Amino acid sequence: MTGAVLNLGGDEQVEVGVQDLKLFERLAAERKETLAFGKVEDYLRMLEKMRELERSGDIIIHHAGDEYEPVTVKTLSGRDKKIPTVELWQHKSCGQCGHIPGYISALYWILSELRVPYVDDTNQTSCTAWNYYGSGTSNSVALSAVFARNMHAAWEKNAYPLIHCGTSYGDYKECRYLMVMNREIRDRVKAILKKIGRELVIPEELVHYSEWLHVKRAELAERRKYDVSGIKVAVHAACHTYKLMAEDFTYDASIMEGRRPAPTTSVALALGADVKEYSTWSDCCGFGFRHILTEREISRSFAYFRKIQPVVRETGADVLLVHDTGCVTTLDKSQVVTLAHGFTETVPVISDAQFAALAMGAHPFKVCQLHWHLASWKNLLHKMGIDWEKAEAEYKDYVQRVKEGVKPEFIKPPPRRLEPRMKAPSQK
Amino acid sequence: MIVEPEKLESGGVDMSGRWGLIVLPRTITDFDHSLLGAVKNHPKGKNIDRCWQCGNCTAACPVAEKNPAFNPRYFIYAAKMGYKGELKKVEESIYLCSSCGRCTEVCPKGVDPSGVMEAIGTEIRKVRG
Amino acid sequence: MSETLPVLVIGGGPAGLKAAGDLAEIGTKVILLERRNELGGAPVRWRYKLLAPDMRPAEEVMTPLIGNVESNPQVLVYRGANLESCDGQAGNFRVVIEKSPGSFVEHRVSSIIVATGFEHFDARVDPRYGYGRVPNVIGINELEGMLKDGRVVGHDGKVPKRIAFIFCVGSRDRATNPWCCTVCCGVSIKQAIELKQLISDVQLYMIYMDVRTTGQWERLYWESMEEYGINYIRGRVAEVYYTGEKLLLKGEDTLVRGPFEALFDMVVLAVGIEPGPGTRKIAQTLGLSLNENGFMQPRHPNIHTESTRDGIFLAGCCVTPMSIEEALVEGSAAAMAAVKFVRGRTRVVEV
Repeated sequence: MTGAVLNLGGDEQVEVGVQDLKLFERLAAERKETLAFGKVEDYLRMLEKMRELERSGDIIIHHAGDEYEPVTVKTLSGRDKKIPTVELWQHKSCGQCGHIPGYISALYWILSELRVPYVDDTNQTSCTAWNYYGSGTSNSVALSAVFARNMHAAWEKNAYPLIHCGTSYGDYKECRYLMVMNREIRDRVKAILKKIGRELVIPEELVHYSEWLHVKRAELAERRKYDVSGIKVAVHAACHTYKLMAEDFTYDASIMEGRRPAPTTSVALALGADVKEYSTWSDCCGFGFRHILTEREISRSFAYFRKIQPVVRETGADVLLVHDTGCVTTLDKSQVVTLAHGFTETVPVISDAQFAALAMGAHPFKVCQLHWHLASWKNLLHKMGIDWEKAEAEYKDYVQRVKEGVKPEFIKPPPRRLEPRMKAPSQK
Repeated sequence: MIVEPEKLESGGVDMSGRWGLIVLPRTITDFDHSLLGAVKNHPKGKNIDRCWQCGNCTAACPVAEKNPAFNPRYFIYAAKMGYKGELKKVEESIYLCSSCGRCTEVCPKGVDPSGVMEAIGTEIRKVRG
Repeated sequence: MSETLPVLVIGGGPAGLKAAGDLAEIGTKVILLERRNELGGAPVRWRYKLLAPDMRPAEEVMTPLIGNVESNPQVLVYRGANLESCDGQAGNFRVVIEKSPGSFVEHRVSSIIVATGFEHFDARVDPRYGYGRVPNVIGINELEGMLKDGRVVGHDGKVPKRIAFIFCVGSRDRATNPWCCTVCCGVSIKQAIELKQLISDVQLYMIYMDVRTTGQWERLYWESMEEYGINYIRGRVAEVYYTGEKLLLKGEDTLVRGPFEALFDMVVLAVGIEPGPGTRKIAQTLGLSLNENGFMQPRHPNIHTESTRDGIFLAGCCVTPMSIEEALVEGSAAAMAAVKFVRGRTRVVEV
């Protein structure tokens, strides 16, 4: 409801513009000097320090240079962020590969469809942030060393890291800040990397895959095969992407007046879907709580009663779109227990990548692997005009053939244009 | 509220006990003042509107000293705001009042908590849980 | 210097008007400078209807207050005017007044009384409540005007049947303003009572941290509960969400130690008192100190009348939030201080 008219007393009235609503960010940042952990200025100072360290030879920065064809987006701090669009090093998510394989294969399918060269490196390790956020049993040096090891592997291959998981993204934002600002952590990480023959490389920008989808949304919309204008979509954004170090994630003045992060919502809108608001939009899904390890019952109850139920009751959404591993996992899987208790309100939960791929004509089972999702997606596919029964029969047939020895189908990345930095493969 | 099912099964999978445990939300979603009206009509409950939740009554109460579930201030608040769910949970406890009258003595507003609680106890029984 | 130099009173609200009126009454010339186009300050600007605690019409106070000044030839009133500059010294200040854009006039004054008043907290700065973004969220300042018109409706034009008042908006909060505005509790409760009288079967909920109805104003609190059945929820509101029809308030009820989410037709924010741009500008022009909260700083924190500069006196909400009755007293005190100052200097010169 922008354009509201405020009565300022006497004859004075003022019309409220969108820019006025951002007052709080600036004023609150000023007033919370000693209370908050890090202001926007701290973050910007960190970026400045990064450049200093590069000049003094302390670190190597993996620049989001023109070879990656970057697109510029806006962030909350007003800083422009560069999103590389080609030659991307896929930083995979252990949770996705383990529990939601359709998430990642849908993204690879989209990359291939758009003819974007990418590197699916087998030489990647888990960021270990799930362990850290869940139990707090890791330490800043270990986490930062794992982060740096992965970034070096990407740098070697001369491909820009694209981070699939929101938790990895959040963890890496923190580790980058720690390593840049703290000499001791940096030195200890360098010592660890030296043992495995690597150097300290820090990426100029930390890019989450949902931001890549955001800048590519027009191309996704062009290739749309199914009409999704009748699909009601609710969106859930992960805490680690937009609440943790909020200065870094993409915001856009044209998407929900810049009050909410742009990715995922923008993709749904570009595809033509009907995006709905609900009262618990900014609530966490519950996965990131420490409870997920020790009292997961609270976490799963929270996911259902605070997110799924309001989404169903208030929006009647056909699908809940999410851009993080943990969020998809808990929002989808938690519905099973409550269903057993007799709570019948349900909504399918899939990632924005899977939804975009489905709309572009990807196979619901071979590519999007919807059979791994527990909450029923049958109505959604029906509404989109996708004949899922036929697809299911095809898939079963395909699996049977693979069992009999036929070679499985793979998604092939388009050929690369850039040369890897180091020809010989590195050690661990 | 924690719900741990002794026996629960779904799609052939046994979810009894801890596996099927869920926690229900305790968000209060409405204020229903019909109970308040009933209490005010009761001869002993007519001053319930005066209560401003200072807690003097609970502070002076000998039963509350020993039994934390017995809280005159809280009962009166739940009745005023119409938190019927909360009152139903403590329905039986309201009758632990010993009618000593200390609460009425110390109440700065002249609520007569002892009398109001009698009214609440009577009226909440009429509400189906 | 000479007793014939006038006293400059900056600010035409209750404090400034009382100072100007008192001075004129005893024969001292006054120049009254008001930056808005009308006299009366907040009570006129926001169209106050009834004054706490006894619900007396605001006109009973404001009409004679303004009348005394407008009808008295001793007072020269500049409306819609600004103080451009001030130099010289105590007893003989040279002030340049911009009486209308681009048109300046110079005066010599013996002393200055600063009564620049306050502004209400701009609730757009605190986005929790959706003020200015969602419909039917208003401030106590806007509600007062609606009560004066005898017609209270939301932005959607409908008469609200369930209204929530949220106390302490823009006050007692490190993220916005850390001080207490002292009068908003009483004003909010007064308005709630008026709403009960105006709209039949309206339900009112006051969501408070504390209820600070001081002194004689306490009766409003008792009456609101005992006679009007207004509900009090001790707690805070985390978010106001517009469902498309109603306002969903999400908050914590401290007394139950649990969350509540309830629907309302209208939300009234008790937007606090804060120093306005007028106060800041005058402080800069006159070289006066402001305290860490941006209010005018008296020479001694417990004696409001004397500012940090000789010959300049303070009165009213520009020093600290206060009620109208207190602002009137401060205006009179400042007038007395100015008179004592001027006569003291004259006596010295004569000797």
